[in-house]
Amino acid sequence: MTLKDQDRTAVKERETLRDLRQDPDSGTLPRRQMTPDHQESTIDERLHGRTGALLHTEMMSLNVGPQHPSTHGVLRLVVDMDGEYVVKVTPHMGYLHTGFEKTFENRTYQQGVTYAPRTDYLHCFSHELSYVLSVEKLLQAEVPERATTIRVILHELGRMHSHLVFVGTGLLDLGALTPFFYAFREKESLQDLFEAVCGYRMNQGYFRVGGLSRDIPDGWPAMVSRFLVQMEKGVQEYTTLFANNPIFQDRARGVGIIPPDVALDLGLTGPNLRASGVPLDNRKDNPYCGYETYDFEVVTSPDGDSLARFNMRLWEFGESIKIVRQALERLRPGPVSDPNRKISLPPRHELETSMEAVIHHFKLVTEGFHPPVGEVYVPTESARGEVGYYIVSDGGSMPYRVKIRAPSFVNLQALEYACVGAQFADLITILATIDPVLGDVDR
Amino acid sequence: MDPVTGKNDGQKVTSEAERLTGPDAGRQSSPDQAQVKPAQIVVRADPPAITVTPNPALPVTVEVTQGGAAVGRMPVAAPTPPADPRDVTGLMAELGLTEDDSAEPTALVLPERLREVAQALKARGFMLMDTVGLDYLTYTQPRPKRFAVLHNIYHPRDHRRLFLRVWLDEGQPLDSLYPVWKAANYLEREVYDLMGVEFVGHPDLRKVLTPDDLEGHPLRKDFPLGETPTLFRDGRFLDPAAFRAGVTGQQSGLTGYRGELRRGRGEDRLPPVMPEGGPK
Repeated sequence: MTLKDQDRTAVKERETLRDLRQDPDSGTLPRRQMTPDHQESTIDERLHGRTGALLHTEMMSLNVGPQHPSTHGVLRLVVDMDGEYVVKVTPHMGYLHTGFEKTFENRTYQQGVTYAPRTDYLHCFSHELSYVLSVEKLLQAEVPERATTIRVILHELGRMHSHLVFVGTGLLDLGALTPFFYAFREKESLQDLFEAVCGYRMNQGYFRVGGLSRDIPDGWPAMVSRFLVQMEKGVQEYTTLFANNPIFQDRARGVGIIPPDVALDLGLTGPNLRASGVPLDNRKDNPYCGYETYDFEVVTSPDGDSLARFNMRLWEFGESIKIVRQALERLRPGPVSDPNRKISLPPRHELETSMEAVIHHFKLVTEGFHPPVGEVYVPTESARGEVGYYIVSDGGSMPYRVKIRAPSFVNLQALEYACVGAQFADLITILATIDPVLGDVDR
Repeated sequence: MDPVTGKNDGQKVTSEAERLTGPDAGRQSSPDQAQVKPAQIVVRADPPAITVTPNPALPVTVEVTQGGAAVGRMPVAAPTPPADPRDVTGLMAELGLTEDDSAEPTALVLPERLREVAQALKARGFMLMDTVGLDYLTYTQPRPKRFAVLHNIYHPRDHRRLFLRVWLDEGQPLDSLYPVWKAANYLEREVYDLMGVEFVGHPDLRKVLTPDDLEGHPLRKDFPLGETPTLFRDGRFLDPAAFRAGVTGQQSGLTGYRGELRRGRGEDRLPPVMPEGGPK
């Protein structure tokens, strides 16, 4: 075989590759690129792989980030490129590492609520909820019905908030500027709702161990209902704006396919896993906060490509809206925190009349409560996947050890797999659809 | 349509058949019905340990006291028979593992058996969710060894969850689970970085979260907490104590930032302001 023949073979191979990629039915890269051992590009791949046919080419390492809008935070990627094709991706993270887990060990359980939402700053309520649920399991605290219902509402609104940012910035990465403004219109309304309920637009820290920090303001459920109507209209707009847009579909279909067995091997959870066809959703499978009593569907897609991952978020809007509607109907007046004075602060007015209340208040604020010795883990479903706080208690008023199961951190491993064999522009698409939050990655 | 491989489908069918004919016939075990396993809390108030299983049917409660303060109400009941489809005691017996007395279903694994056990679990369709590194140096109760590594294993179809606990001495390496689950890649790198456990057979064991020039493993209990004097690249040296003195206004401080402005000195370093009539 002469050199020219080899070149022709290479060209042909590349054309087949391109054809395969554009055929939505075959919808996959050649199988040999899909080996699970995606970590290392072999010498063989580098020397005899799909090198440029007629030009002298060599492997090039390209640095992306850490400060770049399309990396969704502070993520640095070193991309080994062969012409336009990605051979290997090496993410470097840790730029946002602030040692949350160590900080938890030196703060009381109740103070930890401040740190939990700062990990995943787009779906803050997921981490907050997961943290308080773990501590409540340790304490066997009784959360009142009203608090649980409000938690469900905020948890789902937070999921919508995160997905809205996904829709806006994800499309921005693909060069579509308009959806950003549409999505952020609804996002602003959502943040107004969060602000109304607890005073913060982000990083709320509204939940408390045993309930909520305070009750929702009057008229808030009506505000949420109005928002849901606006949101439904918004989802329709996003669907017509980009989900049915042929330019967008060409950019996303068949790009970065993750088959279900690989997705499970890589530990993916959340919409990324459901886009590969595995119907794993902790709201259904490991229900918390009474999710088993709500009527909603777990949306999956068999495709596993970037388009499926985009659509997954759009479909989940509808399910979240359904859950919030049901929760709003269940909202009844009542207490919003555990009546146990060893866990919850006494009501303010009692401090003026009851010495006991003052003592409880003082003990809780200065020292906090002492959960029994034990190790607990409560999985919850955030917008990104399974969030869980593995909390070890040694009987003290501060956790002995807190390990955050951060879905973005694990999901990011899919990048190294899904990008191999894709073009550089596809890398941005894949990174956008995997939707990591770097605060969640680095903690 | 079930898009996962036919193998998994087959397993699912088997479990369906077992559900219909097995001893648990009639029990709802489909994932949509969302079975909740009652939380098992173990109160280790010095040996012997008491296993407490909350059961709403039996409203007997005890006050669990810890450190003199009564905390939480714990409903007490006799241990329920393992009829739960998510129960993993059968699985643990199958793999020859001993159960750890923990609130979560935890199995003790010897370090040399870890990979073999993991492979057996992978063959049964389990996935790796998380890896937790633990340092029990200052724990209030005696533990077998200083370190523990917990692998959080989960079955995505029948939703069983199992924690594999491996006890380790300081400096004792552990077999990496990367050859079994690719998910172990970053998870083990994180444990290596923050806890200093070395994983044998990991292809790319580098630091992942902390900066390259940080020595030590921050999540170890003997990692010093506190302030460090910092020398910046531009030659500015920051001593924490002097810095704090500067910002409280007691001394001029080494940074000269704000402290002297507040006391009416250092006008030559006032921040630039917009001139009258807008920018020229």
